[in-house]
Amino acid sequence: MLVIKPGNSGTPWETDVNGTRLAVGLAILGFAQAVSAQPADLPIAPARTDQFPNGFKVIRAKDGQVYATKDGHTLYGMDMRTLIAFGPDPALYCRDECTKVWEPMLAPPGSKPNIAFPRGFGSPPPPAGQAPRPAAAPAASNSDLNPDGLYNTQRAPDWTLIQGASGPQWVYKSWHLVFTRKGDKPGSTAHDGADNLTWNTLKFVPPVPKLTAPQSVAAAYRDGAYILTHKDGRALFTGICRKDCTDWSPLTAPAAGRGLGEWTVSRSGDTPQWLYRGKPVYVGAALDTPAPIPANGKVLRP
Amino acid sequence: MISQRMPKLLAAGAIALGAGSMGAAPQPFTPQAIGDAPARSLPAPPADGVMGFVVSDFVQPIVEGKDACPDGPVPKLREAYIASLPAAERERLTRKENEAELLRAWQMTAFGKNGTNICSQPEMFDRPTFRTVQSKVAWGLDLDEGNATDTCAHDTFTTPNGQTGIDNQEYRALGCKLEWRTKDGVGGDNQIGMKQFHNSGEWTQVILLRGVDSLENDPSVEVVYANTPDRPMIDAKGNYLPGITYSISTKPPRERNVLKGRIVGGVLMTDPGDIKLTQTWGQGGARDIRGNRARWDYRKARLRLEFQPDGSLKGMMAGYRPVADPIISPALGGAGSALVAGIDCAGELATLRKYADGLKDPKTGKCNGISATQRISAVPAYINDINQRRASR
Repeated sequence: MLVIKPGNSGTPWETDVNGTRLAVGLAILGFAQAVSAQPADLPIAPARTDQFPNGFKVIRAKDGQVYATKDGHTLYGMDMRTLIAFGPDPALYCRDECTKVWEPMLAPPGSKPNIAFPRGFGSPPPPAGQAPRPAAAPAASNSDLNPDGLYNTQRAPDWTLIQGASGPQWVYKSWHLVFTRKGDKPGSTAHDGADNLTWNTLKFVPPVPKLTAPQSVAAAYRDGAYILTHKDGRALFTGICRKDCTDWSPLTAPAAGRGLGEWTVSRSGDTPQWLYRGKPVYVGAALDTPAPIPANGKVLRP
Repeated sequence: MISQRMPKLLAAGAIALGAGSMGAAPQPFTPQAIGDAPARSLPAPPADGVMGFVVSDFVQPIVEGKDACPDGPVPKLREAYIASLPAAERERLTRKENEAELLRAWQMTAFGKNGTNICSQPEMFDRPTFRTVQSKVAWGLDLDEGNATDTCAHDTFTTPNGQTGIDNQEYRALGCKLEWRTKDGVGGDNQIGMKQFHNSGEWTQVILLRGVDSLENDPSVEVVYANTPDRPMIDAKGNYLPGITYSISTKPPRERNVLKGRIVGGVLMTDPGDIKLTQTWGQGGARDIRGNRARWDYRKARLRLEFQPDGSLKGMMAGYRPVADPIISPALGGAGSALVAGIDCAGELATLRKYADGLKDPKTGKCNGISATQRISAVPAYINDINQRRASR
């Protein structure tokens, strides 16, 4: 276990890299379709690191990996951005009836909040005879912190602390106040998307791997693991085509291209073609199509 | 009887193009074009029965004239505050030398306790309801067909061309807002603003018809009303170019709705069904994700689209919207909507709730939806349907 000290919370964190890499085999003949019923901001973006607070872990649930408590209860994020209509500080929303069914994941005793829900445009005019309040000094454009010393929501680390209705409470990705559902069985994700997508399981997507690859190559997360893709969203694959090769479009390399890391250039064909770990690379169809690669093609992994 | 048949799909997918002249300029919006089917000659449908269109106009229709709002438009927050004052105080505060005091005073009405404001937290403010449309005439469709079992008591309108039983309570509630109707009684900012949003490409909508045997009468037509990520092609005058290719997408935030329809006398009607379409708003930024998750959400919705001799479609979509949906844009704007545009979001929501007539909760008997109408025009286009599209190699 690797223990590190984050920002100003003073809370021990841990990493659980080996235990969370639950990559499963990717079906060669078709990737799982992306969930289309959710808006563009869901599921939540990949983690920035493999480290997360002590007391949490990653488990494999019905639809993939999710964060959970040590005893396996799924963590839910209350998306504060959907609750502005109930008050200017949605971090304080969950009281009374809400706490009868949702258990806040409080920070360790003594922890101090290091993020706050941002205030919107506009404020009441000052009382008669008083000068307007001076505007706060803008934060440096490259700073992770606001002038008040709290994290900028756009630049905050994955796990921060906010003042919730029951005290300092964990927040994931700046907006998702962390709870468990009372009475839930371990591993249950039954309330994912509840109340019009206010409550969402905290899906764990490992950090995007750093690639040393041609500019046209990217990585996409599918079925619990990253695969290599074209930057325009088409699948990359390798293999040997024996007949009906019209769907095998080589990933072309620049005419004067040279190797890059595990990538080399083959000039044996009509056009220069990238090889990955010595195998020819082909471009398939878009990942969200029923058959992104031919039946006898093989996906490439970082 | 004309039999329903499956269209012959082209090898590359379901590519459809509306019948008729490809180069015809859009026609001005007229009562006949939205309301009924005048006598005219319609072209024959394509042999494969598949027709495609891109929606070029999508806005709440109003019936222009001063009779709809005889007492004038809904006052803005400033005017509402001034009107609430005793006569002597009103006279004092509206003097030029007291302008700063008046500004401060009316702006205070937009804020409440603990930093709340009238647009971000409209439910926390008790505001009077708006002036509403007083005339009996409005565009729309008869959504309940006189069946009041799952609706709440409401008056109906008659269209300018005489169709009765029209349910359009959104128009009744909001039709006197300045954004809908100017002081002169003509179309307000909505008419231009919605066109600009639509032209931006964020909301581009397409219509795909399958199984069309006749543009005059056909008892069974499949209607796909969907979004595309493709930007519309528009000429220098803002007219949508016909014959452009668009691809249907369901990748969020885009939607695809399949409806059952029929053609009677040159008018395409669909059976009631839910229609969701992309609606994104930029206001509010990252702190209010509702802008990204907004939808045009019409329940028990119907299309009534009239085939035009030039190959285009004109008509309406009507249905019941969740009652808070119409204020999503100013709500996302928060205090800015109130301070800059003078919008009374709380009064607007109270008015919508008062006139809600659909989506009745059987337990409470309360209606949570309001009947609403969008004017639609569409020009012929080639439409690739995602379900039939082969992988692009």
